[in-house]
This record gives sequence, C-alpha cells and structure tokens, in this order.
Amino acid sequence: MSLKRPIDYGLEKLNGLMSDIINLAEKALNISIESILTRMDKVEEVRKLSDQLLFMMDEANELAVQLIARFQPVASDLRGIKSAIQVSYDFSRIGRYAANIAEIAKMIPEGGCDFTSIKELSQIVLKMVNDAGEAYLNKDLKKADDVRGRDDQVDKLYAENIKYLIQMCGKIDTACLLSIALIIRYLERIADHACYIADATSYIITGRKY
Amino acid sequence: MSWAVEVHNLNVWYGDKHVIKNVSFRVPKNVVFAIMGPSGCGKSTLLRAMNRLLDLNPHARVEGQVKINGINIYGDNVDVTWVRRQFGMVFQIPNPFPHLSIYENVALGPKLNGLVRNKSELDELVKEALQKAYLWDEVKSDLKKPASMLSGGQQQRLCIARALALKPRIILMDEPTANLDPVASSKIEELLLELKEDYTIIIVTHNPQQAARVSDYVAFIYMGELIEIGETSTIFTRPTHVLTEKYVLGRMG
Amino acid sequence: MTLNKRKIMDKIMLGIISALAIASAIPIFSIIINVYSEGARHITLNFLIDLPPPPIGGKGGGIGPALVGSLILISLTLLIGGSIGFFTGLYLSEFSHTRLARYTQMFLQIMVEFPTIIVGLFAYAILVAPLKRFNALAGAIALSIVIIPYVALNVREAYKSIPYTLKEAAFSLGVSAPIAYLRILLSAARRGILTALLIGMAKAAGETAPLLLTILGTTFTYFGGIDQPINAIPLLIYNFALSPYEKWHQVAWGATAVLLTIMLTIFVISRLMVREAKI
Repeated sequence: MSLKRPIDYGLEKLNGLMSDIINLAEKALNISIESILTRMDKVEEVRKLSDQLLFMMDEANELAVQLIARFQPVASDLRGIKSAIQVSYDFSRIGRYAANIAEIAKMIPEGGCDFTSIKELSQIVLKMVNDAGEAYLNKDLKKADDVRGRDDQVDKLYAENIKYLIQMCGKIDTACLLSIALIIRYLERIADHACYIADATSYIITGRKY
Repeated sequence: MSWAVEVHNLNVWYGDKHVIKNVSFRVPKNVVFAIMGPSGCGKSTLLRAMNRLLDLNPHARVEGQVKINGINIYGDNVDVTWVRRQFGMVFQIPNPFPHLSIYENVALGPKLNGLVRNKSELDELVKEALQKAYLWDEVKSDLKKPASMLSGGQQQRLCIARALALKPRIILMDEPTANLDPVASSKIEELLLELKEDYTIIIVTHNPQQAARVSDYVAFIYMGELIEIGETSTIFTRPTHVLTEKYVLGRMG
Repeated sequence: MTLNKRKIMDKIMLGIISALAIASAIPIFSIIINVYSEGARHITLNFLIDLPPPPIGGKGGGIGPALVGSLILISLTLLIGGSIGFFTGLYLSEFSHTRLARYTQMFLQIMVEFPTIIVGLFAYAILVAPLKRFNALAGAIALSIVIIPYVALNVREAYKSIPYTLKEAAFSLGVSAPIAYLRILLSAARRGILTALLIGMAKAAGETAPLLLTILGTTFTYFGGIDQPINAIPLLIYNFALSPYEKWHQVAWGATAVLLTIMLTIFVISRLMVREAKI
C-alpha cells in the first residue's frame, strides 16, 4: 500500500467531474430522443442540461490547467489530462446536439411521423455514447476499439436514410421529412463525437494517435 | 553520424556484486544527455566508468567498451590521463580545492598539463573559463581569495570553470544541483543549456523533472540495467517500458 | 538518598576527580619549573656556540658541538627517515587494500613501541662495527628507524582524511598519480604531513637511547664528517650529568633547558596547526 501522489488528489477530482459530465450528457441524449419518440416537449429541460454541460466543461478545463501548472504531469497522467480537456468538449457537443434534437419536437406535425429509422439509428448511437463513456472512465481499450468499429455502420445507415428521404420527397409530409433528416444528421454527428472520445481513450492508454 | 561517446556491453562489478549489467548506448554530440534512475541504480558508477575514474576504486572491475572518437578507452596501451582530459567532471558536492584560491583552482589543470606557455596565456584561459561558467563578473576582483569563501552555487560554477579550463569535449556531471538551493540550481541548469552549444553534456540526475527540463535525450537506468533510452519529449509523454512509466510518474519506490 | 546528601556526594566526587587531574599534571609542570630554575640562567648566545669548558678551571663554555650535532642529526634523520616515512604513509593510505599495506601497518604499529636501545644496537651492528668507529650516520640511521613509524602513520592519517571527492577532483584533471598525490593532494594534506614531520623532528631531537651506541659524543669537534663521531644534546646531558665535575653538571642543566625549550616550541607549533586545521 503506498501513499497517494500530490497529483492523484487532483486527478481523482477531475475523474469525478468527467463522470458527472458523462452522466449528464447521456441523460440529456436519452431525454431528447425519448421526447421525439413520445412527442413530448422537453426542450426546456434538455437546454438546461446542455448549459450545465458547458459550465462543467469549463470547470474541467480549468482544473486540467491547474494540474498542469502545479504538477508538471508526464506520460499517462499528461495524456489523461489532455484528453479530459478534449473529451469534456465532446460531451458538451453531444449535449448541444441533444438540445437541438429536443427542439425538433416542436416541428413535428399533429399526426406524428414514422420514426422507425430514428429508433434504429438512435439505439445504435445511444449505445455508442454509453460505451464510449464507459470505456473512457474504465480506461477500456477493447471497448474503445469496439465503439470505433460501429461508426461505419452509423455512416451507412445515415447515407441509406438520406437516400430514402430524397426518394420520399413529396410522398411524406415535409415537416416529417425535415425532422427525420435533421435528427439523423445530429445523430450521425453525435456518433462522430463518440468516436473522438474512443480515440482519446485509446490515446491515454497507448500514447498513439488514432 | 558521429557520436560523442559510445558505450558497448559495459559491465561493472564491485567485488562480486554486478552493478552495471550489459549497458549499451550512444551519446550524440552537442546535446544534453541525462541518465536518470532511482537511488543505487548504478548511474554514478556508469558515469565514472566513462572517464575511467572508476579505476581509483580497487574493488571495481570493468568489462566492455567505451569509445571516444572510435577509440576504446579500455583498450590496451591507452593513456588513462589522456582519457580523463577528454572529459571535464563536476561532482555532487561542490569540491573546489579548498587550499587554493579561485584563480588557482581554475589554473591548476592547465598548468599541470602544460596547456599554456606563459602567465598571460594562463590568465586569459582562466578568464575565459570563468566567463563561460558565468562566474567571472562575480569573482573578477577576488581571484586571489580562497575558493572556500564562495557560496555553494558559486563553488559549483567554479568547479564547472575548472572542468572547462581543460577544454574537454564532454562534460560529465554527477547530480550537480543535488546540494544547491533552487535558485542556484536553476542557474546551473540554464548554464547547461548554453554550454551544450560547445560541449556534449552527460548529466546524472535523481530528479526526473530535472531530466525533463534540461535534457534532449534521456536514459533510464534501473538496478544496473538500461531500461529505456530516447528523446526526452517522447520518454515523458509516452514511455515505452512499464518501469520507465512508473518512474517518471513518481510511483517507484 | 536524600537530595542534599546527593548534592554533597556530587561535590565530593567532583573535588576528588579535579584533584587527581591536577595531580597528574603536576609532574610536567614541576619538571619544567625545575629545569628552568636550574638551567635557564646558563643560556646565552655564547653558551649555544662555544666549546664545552674544561672540567676544572677555565671559564664560560657551552654546548656548541652538541647543538650543531643535534641539528645535523635532525636534518639527516628528517631526510632519511622523514622521506621513507612519508612515502610509506602515502602507500599505506592509497593502497590500504593490499596485503603488503596491511602487514606493513601492523609492523609499524609494533615498531612504535619498540625499545629504542635495540634500534641503537642494530645500527651499531650494521654501521659502527664495519666502519670500526662510532659515526654520525649510524646515529641518523638509528633515529630514522625510530621516527619512520610515527611519520608514516601520521602521513597515512593525513592522506586518509582528504575527502574522497577531492581525490576524484584531482584525478579528473587528467594528471598522473604522482602529480595528483604529490602536487595536488599533498597540498590538501599539508597540515597533517607537517605535523607528522614535526613529530619526527621532536623525536630526533630528544631520543637518547639510539645515540648511546652509535655516535659516541665528541666533546670538542663540531662536525668531522658523517663517518665520524658527533655529539647531540641528549647525549651531552647524559655524559655530563654522570661526570664527577660540578662545572659539567651546570652545563648539563643548561643543555636540558635548551632541549626542553626546543621540545616545547615544537609542541606548541604542532598544537596550533592542528587547531587551525580543525576549523
């Protein structure tokens, strides 16, 4: 049993902050997707979460800078701190996109739309975000590789759906068409950020760029 | 590419104890090359094997090669005093000769080795060495005073001037700032960064942060073995060996 | 025991110890006082230079030949014994790991206690007998043998007390071993070495037994050559004190005072040097 290094106290605090950020981002995303699928107005709530995420990202940045100034971190400590700055930004973007998705609920027409494609895609993306967050917190290299692997699937689904929407132009309610298009666009971007988070996780463990 | 020093399969024993185990590496010219490792890992022994100061220890046995300009200094027919003159050495506790004045401390080496022809050449050499060590301005009016009168940091710079006076190619430093206060230490570190333009500097340090600050290349020694060697920025951002990582993170010992 | 009783006991003990300490210092002080009271009045410049007076009658006289003889013997002894002792001490210090050094040191420590009359006998056997006469060289050799252990062991201490890091600094300048030891480190150890030589000098000035069988002790010759007899102050004191002549007894007292002065001076100088070195 050995004593904690001075930097370990700071790193623990940073990890706690990141854990909170991840939970918050996942919550925002879950709520926003659900609000679309159940046609509820959760815009206010998700916006609040997104703002909170921005604030916490700043906190994480500030803490990271302090750790660098005080402790001259090296090797995996350094890579971890650098990645925290990167990953907190990624999750704040996810929160922002979640708010964007929630806002689309207002656009949906009275009759509703066929959101099966969104259901399918959102399930994959939600899982990606979950896994990326877990991989990051547990420093799980395998899981991070896994997340990266699913990005192709997302891109494929996205392209297929866009093609389909173009074909359906005129045959579906324009509001529905636009809603679906925007939401799957946001989901695709969210998936990209999940990959960035996985990349950062691998970087912390191996030191290599991905 | 020419190297300042090449070490090939160096092994050192103190009696039966195997203290340096098959170490090989090459030091480029005009860099600061740090050797770091926990206490007792053999780094001071390694340094002294390079200028054959280890010969002074009757219980030390050396096998392997150390080459300067392609010449193996442990070969037959090699003049030990020539080897030692290729290096200047600075020690952990500043050790100017206490019974000599500041001037005499710097002048002794050149005088005994016949490097100058007359007093004015010697004066010039002493002044140059003290200037290079950034000590001249502080002592130029006190050259005759005994060296023991200087502060710790000044004494260490005097030792550096003494080493420089012999116009060596390589400067060996054994934890030169270990006994100095932080201000004096940073003065020495700044001096190193300037000296590397004209010399190759090999510095042993027990403080990885110091290695990170001043060196271009760093070698990590643990229990007499060379664990890892590389560019400083790489070693401190992504070390390859798990022991190196442990050491730079401060999780060793 | 009550507190008061303990205090009294403490004071009594302190008193006893102090008294004993003073008592042990009394002999040397009484010797000094005694010698100077008997001999100091004889010391004049002439006394130091002149030939000894005739046993009866005549006037003045001095210890000239003995003083000159002592000076010559001291010089020769320092030359021979001092240098052998110095290099031996240097060897003992720097090669202390060898078997030769270990045995030599042991042997020297024995020689310190060796009866000096036997040393004199040895010098007689090797130098006086072959030459068929007493001579100064035999005396110098005998004295050298006596001082070598002192000089060697003290020089060894002097070199051993040089911090190892200074030794490393000296050698790192790329000089050969002789230069390192004799030009750089000798300077660093000079206090100890000088002390060693002073001790040697004191012994050479004062030892009497080695002189009894070697130099004879000339009365009227200052210096006739190292293969000839010579005089020395301790020997003169011995001979004159044992003689039946009152005049010569007085001379002996004077000579004793001179010898004591020499010894005290050497003692004071070496003490001062040691104190300076400690700072």
